[in-house]
Amino acid sequence: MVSSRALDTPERAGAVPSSLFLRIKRSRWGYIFVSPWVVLYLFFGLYPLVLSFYLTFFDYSFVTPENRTFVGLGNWIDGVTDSLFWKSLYNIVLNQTTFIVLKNGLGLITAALLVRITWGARLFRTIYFLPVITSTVVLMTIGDNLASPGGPVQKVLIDAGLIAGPVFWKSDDTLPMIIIALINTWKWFGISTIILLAGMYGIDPRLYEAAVVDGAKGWQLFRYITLPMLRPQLFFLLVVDIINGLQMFTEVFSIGFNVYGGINNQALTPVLYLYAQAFDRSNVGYASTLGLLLAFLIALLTALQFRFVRAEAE
Amino acid sequence: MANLRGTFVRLAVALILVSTVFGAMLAHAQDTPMANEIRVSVVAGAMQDTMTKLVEKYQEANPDVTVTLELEPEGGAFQALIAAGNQPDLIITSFGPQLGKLAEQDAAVVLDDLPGAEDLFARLEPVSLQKLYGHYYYVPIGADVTLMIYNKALFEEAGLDPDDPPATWDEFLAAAAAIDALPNRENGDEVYGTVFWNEALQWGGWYWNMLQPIYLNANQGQCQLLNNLATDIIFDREECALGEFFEFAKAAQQYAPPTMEKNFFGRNIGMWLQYGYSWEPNLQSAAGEPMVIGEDVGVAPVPVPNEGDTSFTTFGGRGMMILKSTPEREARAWHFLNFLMEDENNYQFITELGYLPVILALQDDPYFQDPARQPFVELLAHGYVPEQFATADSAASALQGVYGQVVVEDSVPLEESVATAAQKAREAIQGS
Repeated sequence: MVSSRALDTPERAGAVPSSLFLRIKRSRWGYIFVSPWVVLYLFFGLYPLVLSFYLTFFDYSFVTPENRTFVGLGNWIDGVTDSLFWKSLYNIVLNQTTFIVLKNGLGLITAALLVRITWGARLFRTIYFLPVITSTVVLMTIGDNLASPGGPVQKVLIDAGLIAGPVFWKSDDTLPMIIIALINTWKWFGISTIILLAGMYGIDPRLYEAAVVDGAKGWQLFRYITLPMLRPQLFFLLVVDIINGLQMFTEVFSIGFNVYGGINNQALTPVLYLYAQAFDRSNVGYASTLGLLLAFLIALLTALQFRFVRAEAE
Repeated sequence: MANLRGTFVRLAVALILVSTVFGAMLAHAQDTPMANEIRVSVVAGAMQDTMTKLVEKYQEANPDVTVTLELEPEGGAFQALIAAGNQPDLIITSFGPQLGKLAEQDAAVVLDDLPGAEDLFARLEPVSLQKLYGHYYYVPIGADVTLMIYNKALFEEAGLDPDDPPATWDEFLAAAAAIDALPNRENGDEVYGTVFWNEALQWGGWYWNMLQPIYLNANQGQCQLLNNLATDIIFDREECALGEFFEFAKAAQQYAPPTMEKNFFGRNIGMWLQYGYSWEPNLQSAAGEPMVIGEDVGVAPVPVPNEGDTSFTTFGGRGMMILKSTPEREARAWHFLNFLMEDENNYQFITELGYLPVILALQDDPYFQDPARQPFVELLAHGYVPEQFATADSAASALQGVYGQVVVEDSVPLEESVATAAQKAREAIQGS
């Protein structure tokens, strides 16, 4: 005998669809459990986003909000034509190019070495992962002191004859972003190691056996089997690195640059620039515009990656 | 006639009514009731301790009033608090661009016409006051100035008179050369004629305050960095003598280590042109034993280009600013500010925290007539408050960058130094 409850399920062939209210009622506990997150998202995610978009059409200072002035698309035009905004993007490209290559390269090498050992592998994984769980502010402060003109790194380089004298790298147009990338590589390569190591563990060993039978050795195995099989992991790392990189703020702020990224804006990042506009210039409307422009760029880059890179990875 | 009389009577009544209302409004403005609670921003450490004592004293005299001390946000950035409507009522912050930004953003109260303001400003060292955008927005509470400190033992060893410190640039360079030629110390440390805090070139525009005395001496106080509207730099003008400043600094740098890893207090540096009154605790922790001004070290004005020139200095120190809120809270903040500027209370603040007096009457106090302090007090009249506009910090940072290239790294020729600095500073101002 079919239970009456079964007769109420929508899966019954030929059944009349139940009303929206009934469907909600049937799934009420699911809605109740997700509602806190939905409410939080509405208040702290969607509402600020809508408000930010609204503010982009105004010249608005939180110090004198009563003087708010409608400027139409003025902020958007200023943002797209702002040389400092493009300078900040250039700085990020320089930083991330260095960082992504070094971090994932070092992670790949480390993973390739770790996959071959059994004794002590867990210990080494832990050691390499330690910088990941260390505070960015702490690591940047340490890195700043190590790399400072009077610090130990430059002393070693001077003693080794690699540089003639102390280098005041924070005043240089290029070095700040590269040095920050080096410090960040030290912090984050452990993540790449773990992810790529997990990918390597997932490669079918019969592929290697077959290749060895065909005469492949060492580097050939790595290049023609390991690397291609790691494409999904490498793609994931690339996407995440680019998204995070475009939002860089803590690194440049905690290493001692002012809110404009130094005397020549050499360490200016998009988020640092919008922070400067919001909290140094009290130009909240323009800061909102920069934030949304950045969000659009991130979305565009991510979409392009999925369109072109993921297809190749798969 | 009757009509004329009636008109006159009506006019007189109207005038009386208007005067009464206006007078009431004026009386209301002058007698704004004060809030019973304010918040004051201070820096952690010794200032917090001293202000706690002063707050207790104020609250004893005003039993119904609560003054809450809170710590200054990182970097003195009050904008986030203002954005949240959570700003303190009174801030005690360093001289510098922060004051200018708050004034520019109309976040601070104009002090010019507040009750007793004129009398208060008349009691203060005139050069410690700086109008921002045409108004007074802050009251200085204590000052710090820089002058030259020199090691008497190294002077004697180099055959120089320890009681006759160099007064001109040529004398300074000659003394630096003589000291720099001394043999290494027993621990292997090299001896240098002088030192500059070159690491600080990268840390922000505030470091310009420590280089500016040399620049002011070069142009004899004719120029700082910006024009009166803070819209453009002026230091590329010939009378500002920036080229001479770079030339002297470069000549002096040859007798100095590249960084201040070894500092004056290690006893292997002959002279330091950037010693501030607030560095006194470092004398206590000098290598071997504490340094004592007048005994093993001496202080003197920063050398000048030519004999007879005036030696200038830059004001460091702290100023008090009232942030806009309600008339009642602003009135209470002004009342507390005036309490802090009473002679007795200000004396406690500056002596406990190591500042120099901006109140003229306190400059003659026996405490500041001590031979170790008097040279600093005498310099107050020749001090310049740093330009406190937002663009000044950008211009100073850019100038420091070029200073590093010209003086330290030798990557920009001296002949191109002024033009390069002007270009970089203008780009920085446009970008800030």
